[in-house]
This record gives sequence, C-alpha cells and structure tokens, in this order.
Amino acid sequence: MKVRRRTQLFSLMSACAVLAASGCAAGGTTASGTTLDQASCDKITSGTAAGASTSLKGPSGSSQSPRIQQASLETGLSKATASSKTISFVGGAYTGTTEAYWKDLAGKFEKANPGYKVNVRIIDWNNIDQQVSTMIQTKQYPDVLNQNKFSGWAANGLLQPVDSMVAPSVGSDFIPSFKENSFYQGTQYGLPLIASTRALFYNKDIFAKVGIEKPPATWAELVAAAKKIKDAGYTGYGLPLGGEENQGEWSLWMWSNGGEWKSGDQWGINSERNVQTLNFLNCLSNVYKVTQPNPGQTNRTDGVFRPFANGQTGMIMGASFAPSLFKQWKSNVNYGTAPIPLNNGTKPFTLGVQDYLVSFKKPGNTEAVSKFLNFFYQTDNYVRFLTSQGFLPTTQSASAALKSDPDFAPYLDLLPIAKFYPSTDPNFPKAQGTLEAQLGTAMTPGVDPKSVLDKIQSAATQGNGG
Amino acid sequence: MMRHHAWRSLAWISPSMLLIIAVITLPAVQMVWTSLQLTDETGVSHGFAGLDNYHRLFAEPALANVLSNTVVWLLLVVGVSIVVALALAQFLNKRFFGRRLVRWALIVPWAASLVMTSTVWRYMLEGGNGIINRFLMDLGVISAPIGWYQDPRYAFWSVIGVGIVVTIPFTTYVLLAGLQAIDPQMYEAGKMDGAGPWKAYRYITLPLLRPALVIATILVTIYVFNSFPVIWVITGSNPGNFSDTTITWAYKIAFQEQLNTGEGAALSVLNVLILIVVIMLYLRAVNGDRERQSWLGRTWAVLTDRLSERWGRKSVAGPVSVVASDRVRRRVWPRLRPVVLPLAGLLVAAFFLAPYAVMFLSSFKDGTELYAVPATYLPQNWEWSNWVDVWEVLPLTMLLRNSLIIAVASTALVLLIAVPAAYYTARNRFTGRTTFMNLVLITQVLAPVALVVGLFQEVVYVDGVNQYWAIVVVNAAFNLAFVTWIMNGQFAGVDRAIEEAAMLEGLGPVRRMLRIMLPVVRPGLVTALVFTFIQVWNEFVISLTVFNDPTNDRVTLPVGIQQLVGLNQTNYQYLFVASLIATVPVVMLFIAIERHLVGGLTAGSVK
Repeated sequence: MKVRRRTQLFSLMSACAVLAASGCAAGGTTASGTTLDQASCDKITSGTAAGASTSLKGPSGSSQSPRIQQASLETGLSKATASSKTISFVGGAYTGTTEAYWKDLAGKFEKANPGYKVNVRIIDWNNIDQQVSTMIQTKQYPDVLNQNKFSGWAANGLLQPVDSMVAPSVGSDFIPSFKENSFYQGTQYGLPLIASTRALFYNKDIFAKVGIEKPPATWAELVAAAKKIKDAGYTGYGLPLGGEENQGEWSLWMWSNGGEWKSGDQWGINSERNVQTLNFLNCLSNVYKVTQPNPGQTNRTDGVFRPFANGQTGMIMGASFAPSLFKQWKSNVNYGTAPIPLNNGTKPFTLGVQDYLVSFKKPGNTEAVSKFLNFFYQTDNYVRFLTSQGFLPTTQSASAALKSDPDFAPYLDLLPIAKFYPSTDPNFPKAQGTLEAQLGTAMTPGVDPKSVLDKIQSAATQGNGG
Repeated sequence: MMRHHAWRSLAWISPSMLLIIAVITLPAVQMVWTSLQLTDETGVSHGFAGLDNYHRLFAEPALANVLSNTVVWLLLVVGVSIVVALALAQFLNKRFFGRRLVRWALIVPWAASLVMTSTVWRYMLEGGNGIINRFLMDLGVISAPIGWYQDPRYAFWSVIGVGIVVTIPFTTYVLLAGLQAIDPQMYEAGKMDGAGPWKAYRYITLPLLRPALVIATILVTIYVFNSFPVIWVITGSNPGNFSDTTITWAYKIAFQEQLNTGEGAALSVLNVLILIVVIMLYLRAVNGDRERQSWLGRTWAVLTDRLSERWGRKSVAGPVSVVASDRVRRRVWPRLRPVVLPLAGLLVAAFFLAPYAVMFLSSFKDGTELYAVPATYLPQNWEWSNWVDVWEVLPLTMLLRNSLIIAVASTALVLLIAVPAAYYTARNRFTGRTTFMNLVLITQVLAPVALVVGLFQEVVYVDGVNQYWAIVVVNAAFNLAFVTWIMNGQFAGVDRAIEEAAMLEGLGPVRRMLRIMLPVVRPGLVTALVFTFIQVWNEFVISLTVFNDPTNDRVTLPVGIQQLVGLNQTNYQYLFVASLIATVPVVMLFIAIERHLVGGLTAGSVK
C-alpha cells in the first residue's frame, strides 16, 4: 500500500523521470547514484507516452549509396588470374549436426560438379573467433566463411562483393530487410544465411495457477506478473546477462525502453535512456527480486531456457530456435508466445539476428565459390540446413516452403518488424565483445550501471589503432 | 680433439635443437613480433606500433585485479597441492589393503583431459541443478543453493578449489616416486638414534625428498600458471574479471573483449617473462648453498624447527597429522591400522573419482533430468541409448583412430629424438651444453595457445595443414622438453662403472646407450612414454588449428568432442559419454604400466 501511494506521488514528476531518469532514480536515495529502491524502480515503469518523443530513432539500415567503382575493380582483378577449383569452407558449429550437414553438402556438390572440391572445416563457437583471427593474421583466408559479422573484413578490403556471385534468382530471393543488413558502404559483402527472432515466452500453466489472464504488454505489467509468479514459488522472469548471449537480451530491453545502440552515426550506448534500462534490470533482480539468482552471471541456454523448459520459470525472452531445443529436451512445458513488453510507449518490434556467408578475395576463387553458393541456396539444400539446425530462413522461397511448419510459422510473421544489431558498423564486434564481457557486472549490488555502459561506449568509439 | 668432440655432440643433439627452434622458437619470435604490431579487430596488421600495446596493457583498469588473481592462484594452487600431495604420497607409501586401487583412482583425474574434467566440474558447480549443492544441502551444510561459479563472491575460490583437485594427482605421483627411492635402512638408523616419527620425517624424509620436491614444484608451477582450461571452461563466460588470471585474460584481450591480438601477445610475452623469473627465483632459493644459506631454506628450517619443538614430545605420525601419544602409537594403532588405512584409502579414492562417477551416471540421464532441480544422484530413467546414439552423433571410430595414430607416432618420434640427446648431455660436458639445456627448459614454459599464430603460419609454409606428419612433429616438439628432462636425470643417475665395462669391450656410444643404458632406465622411459601419450591424446588448440579437415576424415578426438558444445546448447549426456570413451584407453595404458611409472618419475634431478 505504502509503495503504491509513493508511486502516485512520484508520477507527478514523470517528466523528470523521462528526461533524467538515472539522476532521478538516484535522487531520492543516496548521492552515490548506485542504490536503487522500490520507489525509484517503480518510477521507471510509470513513465508513459512522453517517453516516446525522446526515444532515439537511429536509422540502423545501411546507406544505399552504391560504390560501383569498387565493385568493378574487384571483378576485373579476379578475371586476370587462373581459376582454382578447390575451395575451403569454414563455419561455426551451430549444433552437433552442423559438421555432418556441410560435409554431406560438399560431397553432393562435388558429385554434381566433377573436378570441384570443397574442404570443410567446422569450428565450435567458443573458438571460432580465435581461429578466424589466426587465419587472417597469417593471410590464410577461407574462400567461404560462415560468421555473425563481416564489416570489419569488408573495411579492410578483404572480402569480395557477393551480389554478383550468386544467380539473380538467389540474389532477389532474400527477404529485403536481411539483404539490406548485409551491405558495407553501399556494397553487399554478406549473404544472409540464417535468422532468428525473439518473443516473450510465458508458461501458461503458471499464469493460470496464479491467476494472470494475459501476457504482459508493458514493463509495469511484467513486474506485476513476475511478482505474483515469484510469490507462488517460481522464478518470475529468467534474466540471462552472462557472457553467452547477453547482447540479445540487452538489445530487447534497450529497444523496448526506446533506447538505441547508435543515434545516427554516433554510438549512444551510455545514453540516459540506456542507463535507465540497466537500472530497471537491476530493479528486477535486486529490488523486486523476481529473477533467478545471479542474473549477471547466468547464461541463456543452460541458465534460462532449460529452467523454462523444465517449468520452473514464468517468463523469458524466448527465441525462434527455442522450440526445437525444447523438443530435443523432450520438454512438455505448456507455453505461449507474446510480443516483447514495452515501456515509454515504444513501438512494437522484435530482435532479428542474422548470420552471414562471406567470401574472401583470393585469386581465381570466384567461379568455384559462386558455384558452391548457388548450390547451397537451392531451396531443398537450404531448407535442409534450416530444419536440421533450427533457424529461420532469410529467403522468400524458403519462408514459403516452411510456412506450414508449426515450429517456424509464428516467427516468420515477425520478420517484417525485426530490428538488427548495428553489425554493419566495423566497431560493432568490439562493442559487442566488451558488452558480453562487462554487462553482467552491472548486476552486482553497488556497481554503478552508468560506469559499465561507459566502458562499452568507449570500446565502441575507440579503435585499436588509438 | 675438442673440435671433433663439438662436431660429434652436434650429431646427438641437433635433431632436438632443430625441432625446438622450428616448432617453438620461431613462433615465439612471431609472438614477440605481434606484440610490437598494430593489429586491428579483425586480425589485419597495420604496421609497427612500438611499445603501444604494452602501454595499452599497463593502462588497463583490470590489470591490478588480474595480477593479484594470478598471484593468489599460483600460490594457493601450487602450495596446497604440494602440501596435500606430500601427505597423500606418505600415505600411499604405506602398505595397506587396497593401496593399488587408491593409486589407480588417483590416475583417472590425471589421465582425463583437463577440458573434460573442467566441464564436469562446471556441471557439478551449477547453482540450481548442481549436484554439489544437492549434496551440501542434504548434509545440512547450506540451506539454499549457491551459484558456485556464477556468484562473483565464490567464483574465483571455486576455480581455485578445482585447480587444486586436478593438480594433486600428478604432484602426488612425483613425490611418491621420490619417497620410494629412499633407502629403508635410513629409517632403521634413525630409530637407533632415537628419532621419533616427526624427527624422522624432518631429518630423513624431507632432505632426501628434496630433489623430487623441487621437480614437483617447478613442473607444477609451470603447469598451474599456464593452466587455461580450468578457469576458461568454468568461469570463462562470466562477465567481469573476477576469476581471470593473466593467461585467460590474454585470451580475452586478443579474441573476446578488446579484440586486440597485439595487446594479447604483449601479455603473453609478459607471462613468459614472469614465469621464467619465478622459476629462477625458486631455483636460486632452493639451491642457494644448501638449506640454511637461502631465504626459502632458512624460513623452512625455522618453521620446521619450531614445529618439532612444539610437537616434539607428543610427536606427529607423519604428515597425515594424526596426533598420537606414545601409548596410542604402540598399543592401539597396530590394531586399528588394518581398518583405518584401507578406510582412509577408500575415502581418498572416492573423492578423486567422484567427478568421473558423476560423469558416468549423468551419461545415462536424459536431457531434462540433467537439469532437474534439485539434481538427482542416480538416473531415474536409465537412458542406455545415449551410449549407442553417440556413435551416430560423432564419427567416434574415425576420431579414435586419428588420435591413436597421432599419439603413437608423436610419442615414438619424441623418444627417438630426445633420448639420444638426453643420454649425450648426461654423459658429456661440451660447449653449448648449458645453452641447450636452458633452451629445453624455456620450451617447457611456453604455452601452445600463445604460439598458435606463428605455428600455423609455419605449417602453412611447409604445406603441412591437415597432414599427419605436421601435427605429429608439432606435438613431438612440445613434449621434447619433458622427455629430455626426465631422461637426462635418469641417465645421469646410472653408475658410470656399468658403462665403463662395456667401453672396455669396445662398444661405441650408440650401442652402449641401446644395449646397456636403455634397459637400466626402463622406468624413466615408460614415464616419458606415458606422459607424451597423454599430452598428445588430450591436446586441443594446435589440432584445432592445423589438423581439422572433416571432409577427409582428419579430426582428432578432443576437437571432435568439442563440436558437441553447440551455439545454443551443450549436449552434456553425449559429451560425457564421449569423454569417458576417450579416457578409457589412457587409463588402461596407465594401469598397465603404473608399476614402472612410480619408479621413473623422479630419478632425475634439477641442477
């Protein structure tokens, strides 16, 4: 009761909450600016429509100014040298069956194209960055690489433009939003490989048991629901801010509060709005105490998806590939999906994550690479990859082919409102690396969230070149 | 004469020299070079940077924390391991029912790959579904689950605990070998002079154990300092630097957080320097003109003297710290002994086997039960199919075959090259001998993970990527130091008189080595063989980089198993099955030659 009255009192100052949320949050308590209490937490979710006007609208799509000069230069280069019929493919192990898939595909490709050879090399995701960096440092570029980034190599001039390497029927088949997110300075260097989208997953049985009728649509509703669920003995909300995938969880909360990675061309990770978001996550864990213990050190798959699949958690930010995991785990959790809950009157969205295929410039490899890429994107080969690995398609033909699959259908519809990481910015990998390594420390009581975001901001704005 | 001698020495040691220079020195130079280069986030070099990377490193806010972690990690893990191992070795040197079984139990953690052991520890240390929490709560020690590796308050102490547990077995074996070398007559003489158990330990056991203790300390220090998997697997994905040492931090700097390979290389260079300094200081302290002359020796002497004064009358029965009065020792102990010792042995064996028992039992659980809260001790539904399915999930036959070929070939190669060099350096003084031995010592200090870039470049240059011969040569080079060291000590320990007789009969040095010396040093040879085999069998980083070609069935077992750690999930049940299958051949090998092993470990000495 006391709490609620205080909330009303504070709502008078909602303008303050919007304009200088972090300052206000701290204002009522101590001067250190790090201590959150119930009132300052509640205030974050009480800000309403006013917030939308100040939300930063960063054009995350890349500029489309074509650089024809550069592209023509590359094609001229590759014609001059003898062509090679053996190429190397380096990819990450999405699941235990990834290697088997590529090995099998390479065999089929070689059978269909006598004289050509694809050497496959699959690396687990824990080691792939180190291995690829080793290849680059020693100039042993793979002909085709499957990774979740490309702009750094593009900026160094190591990649060849891919639009001309795939048949027009393949090139025009990509879903436009994914294709747009594959450009660096006007040239397409990445071929969209896989996609995933996110949604709120909620346990229907738990919701029925504690008497919540519909999934929360706002942060305030989410807090209220999580408190009820927690009182019934479950984890209210599963919050993974450990190093495995916290950039996804963070982006969802940041965007749903109207914050951004970048505003215009400038990085804005430590903006006031983002500090407010991080304060709110702190509130969930340390003030409302509705999350699992140690959210700052909890990884997504083992620490959040698993407990949810086992029926121990009320709500999580789920992903389109989670159902296939639940199925593998023989989970019978009765869950529903809902849009991401919003705050400050933000527009509905989802996080779209895509991985790429890129091709490194190597004399004479264009023809063989081109043949292999076209072979891979044949609908049957491509769909087999998606279904075996559990990811969403980035092409329209594969989307159509998977439309009737119940594991894919709900997420395919979300693709048009997907927002992406600013992965076309060459500094993004470093910002992401620092975020993965540091964000969780903001959950330790007594740590100033702003200082953590400052660290990530400076990583994004300072290149290693100094 | 002199020149002839120098030329001849070249024939004996040049294969070792070549291998070390090619596989270790050149990549090390490359590492130093990288630390002076400006390398961007993607790994592209942008020219000379001078000492910029070092400046940047020293300006890192986390540096002080990571350095202090490294000191704590090194002191605690090495210190506690050695103390516990001293006690365990003393215990295992006593005769009791089931001793052999306890020794075998101690072999398992040593033989199992560190990555796999760390993985199972991580699984056991989980917060909600961790079996350690279940166990402690059943015992009533804690009332709510603790996130042992997640909670920043406990994370570092948890990895230190695991570090100690995985370091003890090897240390114990080295010390046990030292104990067995002590002549029992020494104790008889001590008894005649009226020395109690503590005095006997202090004035007979410890001084005679010194060479073994010095070897154990140096090997363990290097091993612990360079220990990457324990911290990396358990807390590597934790945000912050709560449990980073300079080794794991170098990896984070290069490939995860700063994405600056130049700065990472700078820290690796620093690591090697720190380690060399630590070892030099240690050697100086222990070798400084016998005990009382050196700082360490003095401290040790003061400490033990005070202890013996204090416990002098009551006397302590060995380092197991059983305080026993004279009466108890004479009357009660002989009756209790046949019961107490096997029982204690059983406890020790159970403790060290526990993680692998968890691994074994978990390998029968299904995906849901692996994450059940609270954890279950025994599988509720025994999923026997896990053990069948894994052969379909992984091409296990191919992986086992490759690892076997590479381990056997590397072991053979390293023995072929290192044994003659060890024999020659043990028997002859020649120009460059010290340089050679120092070079060998330094290669022991360099961690493969720091050299991988330079190594890969070289393997590419000689067209050896994904070739058996290349991975065999590289593995041989990394184990050369250990084999040379052990064998050199072995040969030096053999009485020259044996050889002189053969020399009079006109046998040349090669024949003397083969016919006379090798049979004598068989235990040492077996030790070297087992060590190399295990190291190569479990090696991961280099295989991943230079020998990974699934298209042509060229992948090693550790690399293949790692594929089960997918982007979004870890298939623990298959991971555990595959790990156990991978461990079995090594444990069998161990058990088959355990008897020789203990004899061979410490016949060497450090000068």
